[in-house]
Amino acid sequence: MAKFEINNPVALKFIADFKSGVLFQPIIAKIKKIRWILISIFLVIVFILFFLLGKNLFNKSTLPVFSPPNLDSERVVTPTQRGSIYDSLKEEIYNFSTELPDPVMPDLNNDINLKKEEF
Amino acid sequence: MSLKFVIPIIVLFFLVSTSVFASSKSDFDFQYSKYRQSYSEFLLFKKDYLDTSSLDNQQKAILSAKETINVRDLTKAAFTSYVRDLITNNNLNYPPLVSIADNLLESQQFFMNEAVKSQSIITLANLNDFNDNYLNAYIKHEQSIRVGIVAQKIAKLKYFSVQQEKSLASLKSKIQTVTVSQRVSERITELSQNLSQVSEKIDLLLNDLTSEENLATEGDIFFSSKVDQLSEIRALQLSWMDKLIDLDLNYGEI
Repeated sequence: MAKFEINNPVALKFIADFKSGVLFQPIIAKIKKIRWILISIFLVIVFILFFLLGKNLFNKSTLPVFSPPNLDSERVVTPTQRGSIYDSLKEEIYNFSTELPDPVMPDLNNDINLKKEEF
Repeated sequence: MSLKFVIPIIVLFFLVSTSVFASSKSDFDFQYSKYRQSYSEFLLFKKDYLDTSSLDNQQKAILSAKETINVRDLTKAAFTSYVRDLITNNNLNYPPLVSIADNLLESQQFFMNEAVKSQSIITLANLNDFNDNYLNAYIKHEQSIRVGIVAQKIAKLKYFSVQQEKSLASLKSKIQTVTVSQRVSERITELSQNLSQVSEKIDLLLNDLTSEENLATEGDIFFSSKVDQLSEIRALQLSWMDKLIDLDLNYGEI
């Protein structure tokens, strides 16, 4: 079986950098710069995950509660009212104001002069 | 034309049509606020002139009077336009209302012309002449505005009346698909008659509005005498709606 040998200098350099960890230094430097942002994002994700987990567990664990109605209380059954397509017109008429004057006439002086006012 | 052009055009149309109405109100608000500021300044200049009638004080007072008159008449023109829009926005081709709207247009033009004329005031004599002419001419147009304020309320009631006619027609077509009892037919006939009665009241109110006797009424009495009639018509329309809705709920969905 032929022995597999790498002779390419670029490949050799890559392997050496990989083994020594030099390849990862720029990435590690960037991570160190933004580490607090990454930690915050991680914490938020963890919080959301635990919140969703808790909500899921709560929903599954809720037991149906049965309580009979009080004997002396009346059950009032309100019939569901079907609306009419003419309700909106009725509401428009109801909301219409018959007050006058509306709009109010602006208070304007029709006699702009430089005469002394006689009282 | 592809849909991606049609939809924006339709949206733009509705925006423009509603914004035209909104602009007549906002134009009036703007002019009125300018008038209030201008008028209070004029009062100060007038006081200075009356206290010390120097030529300089006179000139300042005249300039301020000229500016105030200009803004006053622009305010009146804007208000007239606003009241007219309140009538015409109901889209009713009803001759008495059309006539009132035309009168308002004439008044609006009068006030715009006065605003332009005020710019030619230079001397005290010019101011006095302008004022004397104005005091004779403006009353008729102010009356037109007062009529317009009541007419726009009547226009709205007339609009409701038209909508009620359409509603009754649509209910009739819904009910006619099945055989209805005589009682229901009688109720529909009654509704139709009530509509005519309300329509007559509206016509009467409009005719009375433009009568000479009514136009001679001044002050708050002019308005207060109309409120009861407007309220009565509105109450009749509401009662009518209750009867219509009752019919619709009981027979309209058969």
